[in-house]
Amino acid sequence: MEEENKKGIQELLDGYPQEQRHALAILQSVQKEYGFISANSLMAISQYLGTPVSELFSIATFYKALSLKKKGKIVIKVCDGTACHIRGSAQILEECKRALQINEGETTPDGLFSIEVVNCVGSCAMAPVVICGEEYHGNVQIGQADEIIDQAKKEVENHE
Amino acid sequence: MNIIIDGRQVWAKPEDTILLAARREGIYIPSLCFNQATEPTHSCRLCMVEIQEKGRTFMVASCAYKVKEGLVVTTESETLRKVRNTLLQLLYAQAPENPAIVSLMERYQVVPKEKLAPKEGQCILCGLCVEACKKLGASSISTIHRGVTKEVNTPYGIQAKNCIGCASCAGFCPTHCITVEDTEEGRTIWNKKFKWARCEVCGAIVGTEQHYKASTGDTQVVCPDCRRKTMTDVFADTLGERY
Amino acid sequence: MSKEILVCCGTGCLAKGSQFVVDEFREKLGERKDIRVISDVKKVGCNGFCENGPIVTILPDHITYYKVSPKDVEEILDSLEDTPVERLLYQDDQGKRVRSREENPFYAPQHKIALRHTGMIDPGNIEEYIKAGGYIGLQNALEASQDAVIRQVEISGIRGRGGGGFPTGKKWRSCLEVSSDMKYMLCNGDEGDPGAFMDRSIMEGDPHSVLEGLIIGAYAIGSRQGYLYIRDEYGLALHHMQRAIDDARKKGFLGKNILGSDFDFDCEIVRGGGAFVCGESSALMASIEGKVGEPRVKYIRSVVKGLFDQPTVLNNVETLANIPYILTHGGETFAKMGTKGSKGTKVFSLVGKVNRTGLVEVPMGITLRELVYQIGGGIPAGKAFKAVQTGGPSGGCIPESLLDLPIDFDTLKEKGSMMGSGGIIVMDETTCMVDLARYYVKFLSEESCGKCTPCREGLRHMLDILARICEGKGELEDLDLLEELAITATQASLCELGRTAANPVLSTLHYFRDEYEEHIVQKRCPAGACKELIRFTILEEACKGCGICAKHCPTSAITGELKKPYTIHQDVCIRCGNCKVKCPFGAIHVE
Repeated sequence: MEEENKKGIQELLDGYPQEQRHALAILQSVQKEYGFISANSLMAISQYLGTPVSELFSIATFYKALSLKKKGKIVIKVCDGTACHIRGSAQILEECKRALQINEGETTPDGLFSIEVVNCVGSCAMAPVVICGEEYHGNVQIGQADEIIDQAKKEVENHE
Repeated sequence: MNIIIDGRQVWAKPEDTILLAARREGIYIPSLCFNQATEPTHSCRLCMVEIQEKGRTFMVASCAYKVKEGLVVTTESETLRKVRNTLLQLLYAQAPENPAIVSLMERYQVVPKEKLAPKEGQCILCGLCVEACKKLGASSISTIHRGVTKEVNTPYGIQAKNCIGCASCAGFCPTHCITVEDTEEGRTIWNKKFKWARCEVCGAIVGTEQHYKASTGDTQVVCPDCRRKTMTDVFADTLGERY
Repeated sequence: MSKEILVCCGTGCLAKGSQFVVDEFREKLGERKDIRVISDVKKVGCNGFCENGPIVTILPDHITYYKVSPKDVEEILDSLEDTPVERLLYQDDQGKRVRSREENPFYAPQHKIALRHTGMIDPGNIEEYIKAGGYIGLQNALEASQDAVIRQVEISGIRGRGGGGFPTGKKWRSCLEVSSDMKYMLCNGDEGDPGAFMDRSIMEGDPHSVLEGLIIGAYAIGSRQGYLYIRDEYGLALHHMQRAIDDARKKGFLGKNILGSDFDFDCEIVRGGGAFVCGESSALMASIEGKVGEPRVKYIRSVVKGLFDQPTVLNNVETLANIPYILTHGGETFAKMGTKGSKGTKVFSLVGKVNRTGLVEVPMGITLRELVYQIGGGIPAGKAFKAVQTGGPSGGCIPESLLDLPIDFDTLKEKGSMMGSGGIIVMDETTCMVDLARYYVKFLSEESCGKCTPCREGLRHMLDILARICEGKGELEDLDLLEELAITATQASLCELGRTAANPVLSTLHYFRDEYEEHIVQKRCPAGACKELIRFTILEEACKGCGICAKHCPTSAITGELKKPYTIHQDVCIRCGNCKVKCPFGAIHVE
């Protein structure tokens, strides 16, 4: 598995010029491809760009789009933008946490779900919003979280 | 050019910041994160001063604001006193009982507020250690995360592969909060153990093995004193004046 | 006569399944040869009224249908040559069904300049943009001198739409005056204000308007390289913007010798990394340089030394979207609208506790009352208006007493708030202002870059204090400390995020001090929002003993016998509010 990743990462790197300014874009590509940024990929990028690992680590922990830990197959993003907040997003977050028995920022033991709180996804007119995987759910009612999660579980099962 | 600080005319060079010009003149402006040897971080904000521009008063960071001909600067005022007071409170809460901050608080007669919950550790996140490591070390530490969870550490918090144990970070730290353990054998810093490199001639410690290698590239370890003696011997031989 | 069917495919309507509506239309049209449509069903950008999506518009009749599902498609097709489908039309405040947008109270008062094409054209089709008058502005610009172009922008009086409100013409002129071989023209698409989505809609629905504005700006200042910094979270916007750039290049609007002139300019997209602070100009530039998004001191302005230390102009998406209009119709036309200090129109995102939520573009100077009550249709469920938050986390709240305030950059600032990107969050009696301040401080404490003491530490302690107050553990001296920390952050922070971070705290303290004091002295939350200070109880007289509440209680805190009043056990109750929502008899009371 490690060797595969190394080759994959190198191929990914070769698609970018060796310039510092591409550091963020490269990290985002790695994140997209592998779901997280491993220590190996940090070292490979460091070698490629000539940027110290500490600086890349700084970037990887600064931006929320990047993650050092692998996230669940389906990431449940509960929007806590202002419009969503005053329409009860805190409540919905609690429901998600209860349904999956994990806290925000954590992943279920089976690696299926992660919960994240995000700051405004720009769908404020349909507040409160929950994004389950790629699907947007607007005007989420109190008590609806269980439904959304069950639906997602079923879809994963159907897929497999 | 000439600028005016607290009513005094002060000579300044074109690329000077207010702080630099003031220090040269012996005018005291407090600062914790300023060090001439590194890139400035502008983070502690203790050096705030007031300037007059277009008939209005602005508060600027003197370590960042570049001088202009005829600039009028004030380093003491009621507003500045209040800001400095709160800033010192905030710094104290980050580094409780720290001598560097306590002495500043005494100077400005600031009493710590109990309501400001103290943080663990003594780091005020001035960023000097990171800059020092960049310039003099091996870029082994950096600031991680952001906002209130920001901290300084090595990647993953484990020993950094490229750290050379030079302890420049500790030397630059204004609150002396970086732990360096020096023993007969070597040094421990940022969770990494180092062995001393000792002078082959007199046995004096010249630094960690990695630091010595990084700064000289020599395989032979010779301390500065012995190196000087060797050089004077060489000169003496050349000039025929050996004692 | 041939009809045209437009289906909204902005993020909001797509989330509600508008793609399925498109598919159904296409399928049915394929079968029904009796219907004449000009072209394929057109997928258009965000109509700004997302709660009522999917939205379908029929031209040339200007009939707009709302909440359309695939099941309705057949009926709509049948109605094309007949009377419209009543139940899908919007119902105005008098209960009448209205056909067109001009009769819809949400759209009627709007005057679309920045949103002139959004929702009407297919954003993926450059020909439609050109047909609608696109790139004429660019042609006009290239035929004039740089000075003449800037002159038009100066005459228009347009000020930055992203939050700063800095006069755009002045910004361009000061950059033109800096002589440098390399200058950069940047677009700020990092819309991070929670509650704001106007930039998203413009980038999704009319990307060429932004691109054209960028190219005109680049010509004006003398730049040949540009970047569009777009939020990572806006997948559709990124997609449409990239498509627009590719198509514009093919048509010669980008690249070398644009439209046969000797002006070269090209641009690329840079994705944000998920950081609100990167909306700040110097942090944005640091991010493009491949570093962490930490702002730098700006005593030397970016127009002199910005991206890669070169002269740089950064403009917001909405600002740029207005530029082609100004270069097509003249700066004076734009300046005819708005107020003395704030010319033109502004796109507001009206959201929160209001009946009609969405994007509203109106001339500057409209009052808050008109926005909330006329366009927004007032507060739902008969609740009382409490306040409006403008300018997001950098802004402040405006209470009921100021509802007749004409909105413009300066009036809002005077009252302790700011325009920001145009987010208008409406709040009612169930919103706790102390909790709101805590919400914004929490947001900023996570989004702040964390470099400077007054912002990072100030926010940390303010959050502590506000949390304690919301839990009923506050003291009156806390309010003084809160103010002190807030003022210090305002005066001593390194960047605008820090300098405006205290606005939500200071403005709620100013207008709603009594609410703070009630939390502290009476340990009570008048809005019924702060969990630690409220109790849920069952009203015996109203309770029918149905047991529905107990069934839905996640901590089994409710017990009782059927047909007899139930009881909530306070020590187990986590105050989630589920019972109140599920009770069919309204027997659950919050105190």
